[in-house]
Amino acid sequence: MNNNNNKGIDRRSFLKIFGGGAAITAAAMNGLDVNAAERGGNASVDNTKGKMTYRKNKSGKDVSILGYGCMRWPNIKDETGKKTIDQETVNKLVDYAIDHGVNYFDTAPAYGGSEHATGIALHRHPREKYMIATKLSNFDGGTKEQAIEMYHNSMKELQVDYFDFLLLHGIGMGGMNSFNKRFAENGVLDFLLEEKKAGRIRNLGFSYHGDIEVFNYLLAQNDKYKWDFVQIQLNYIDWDYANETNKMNTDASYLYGELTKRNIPAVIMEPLLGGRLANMPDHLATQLKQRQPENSIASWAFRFAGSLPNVITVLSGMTYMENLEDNVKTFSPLQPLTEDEKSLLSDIAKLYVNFPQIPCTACRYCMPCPYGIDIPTVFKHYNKCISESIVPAKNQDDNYRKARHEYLYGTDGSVPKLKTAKQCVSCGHCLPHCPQGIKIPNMMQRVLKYVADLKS
Amino acid sequence: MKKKCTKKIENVDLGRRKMLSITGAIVASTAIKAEGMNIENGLAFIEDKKIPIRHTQIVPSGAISHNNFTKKCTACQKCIEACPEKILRPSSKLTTLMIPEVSFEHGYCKPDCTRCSDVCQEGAIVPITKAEKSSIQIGHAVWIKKNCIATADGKECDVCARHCPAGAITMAKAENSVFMKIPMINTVHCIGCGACENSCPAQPFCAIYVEGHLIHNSI
Repeated sequence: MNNNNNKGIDRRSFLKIFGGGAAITAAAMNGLDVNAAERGGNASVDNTKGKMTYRKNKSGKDVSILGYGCMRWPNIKDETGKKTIDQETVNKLVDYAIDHGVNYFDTAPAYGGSEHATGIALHRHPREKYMIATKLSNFDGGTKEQAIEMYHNSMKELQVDYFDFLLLHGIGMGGMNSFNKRFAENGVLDFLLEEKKAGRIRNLGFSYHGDIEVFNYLLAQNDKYKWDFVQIQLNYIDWDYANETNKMNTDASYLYGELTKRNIPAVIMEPLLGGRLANMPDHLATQLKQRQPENSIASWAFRFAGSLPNVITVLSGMTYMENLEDNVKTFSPLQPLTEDEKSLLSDIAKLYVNFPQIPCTACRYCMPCPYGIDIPTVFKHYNKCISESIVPAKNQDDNYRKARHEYLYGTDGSVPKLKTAKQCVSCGHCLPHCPQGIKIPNMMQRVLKYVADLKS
Repeated sequence: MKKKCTKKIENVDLGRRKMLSITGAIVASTAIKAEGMNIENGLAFIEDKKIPIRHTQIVPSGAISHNNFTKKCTACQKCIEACPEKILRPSSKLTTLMIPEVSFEHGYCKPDCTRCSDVCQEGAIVPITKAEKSSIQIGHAVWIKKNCIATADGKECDVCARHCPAGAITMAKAENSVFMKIPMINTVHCIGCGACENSCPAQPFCAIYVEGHLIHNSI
């Protein structure tokens, strides 16, 4: 021992000196820039696995705060040019989602083949790994038998023998009359309550759009129906400004408050307003980026909905893998909004409502139009034109700007993609179907005026 | 024998030894640093750009999706020959051997060029017009804070924003930050052309790069 201590230069001090020298060398090699050692080829590694935030439903089951909205599956054109759901990609998306802790999948018979595709993708996983929410989309009323057939068909398409969540689809559209016709008078609601008793429906609820009278009525009957959850449209625009679009729409703050009062968990739809809250004008997008330069614009909208404690899941219709990855990142785990961030979003909302886009979420409930107008596509293209018009010319390359203008407006400014708006005869067939309450014929007039103004 | 050795070491002047090794280290490191700033003919030494690590590879505008591209491509190399910007190159990976790959070390995907889609006869890259190309999003730009001249070196730089043909990048200062203005990408206007990645002066890894999309979106 003694011997060791008396060494002229011991191991420790040798390491100290050598180590210090090495550090100096390393620093010098990097130009004395401490950050440089960390430079690398990508922004971040995927470390989101296993960090998903969960909320409990009424019976204490863990529900992932990110829910998969299956209304917008990607399409592919087959040999004949017909569009079908791209099953291969759907499987990939579902695998990634389940792998990253998403366990809530929302679909409906009205989503054109979605139940079938979702069923195929989910059936490849153990049943306890996922929860299915589907709806009774008996929009045209009809008999109890027809509704039951639709219900059983959903089971067949989704390849399950029970539903984790079942919703009365689109309550409020068409007011009390429609509700009575679809669910009360024909005994469909009684059938669903029996199915719940039998354990084939684990959670019974409804999705709401439109007439507030029906929402209030169903909540008043909560003692009788014991709603397990209610699906509402909620985002930082609709929170206080829902009726800016249409006097009939109700602010999400009211809907959420009523549910919370009764301890009914909320499922959130349209947290991004059909993607429009990811598609912000530059001056607003920059304000959000300044707060969180490395997070997406969309992440703000998801954090807004997820920060409310009575929300069990926030649905997102993720068509593309990059959207899914970004949303998984936002919710793994969820960073609730601070008071300061909430007030920023409230300021953004005030400015955003004045932005003259048409609030279409491309749900396609209005389709088909009897006069052959592809309504959502016309509105989407119109919104692109509006969005592009505020990009300053000096920021764009001349060649790009020329090509972009040709794409948006056509070579002669006739905007070929908008020309079908002319075919609108204001028959109003679409009006009762729009969950956003958009006055579609009026908007077609607005689109036409826009085209006329471009030419003059 | 051992004991003798120890005694000898005890007599060494410790202070001198320590000083020598530290001085040695500093001299060596200074030499290395001088080499790093190698200035030849009055020009700064520029390292070759390193390829960023892409989570999803990029396929050219007109390819529709990765699935479509990989299923139909016969690796005939026509698009690679046709590409005036040299951004297409044959893959050296075993699973995609000779299939064209996109990367922006030598150029970027010019908005007014549709050469690869013109020459492809297999349907792997379907014919598109310049107008259509302006709306096809093949990927989106991602900013890497740790590599950026503004955040890592504290120097003002707006090269990416100036080169973006679509006007998707705004330079602004992050709130509560001492850093210079940084690029803020509005993904909704980004087509993934790679002009930012190609022009970024950060080296060897650029501070802004394009992540590919599995299915091309329309903006």
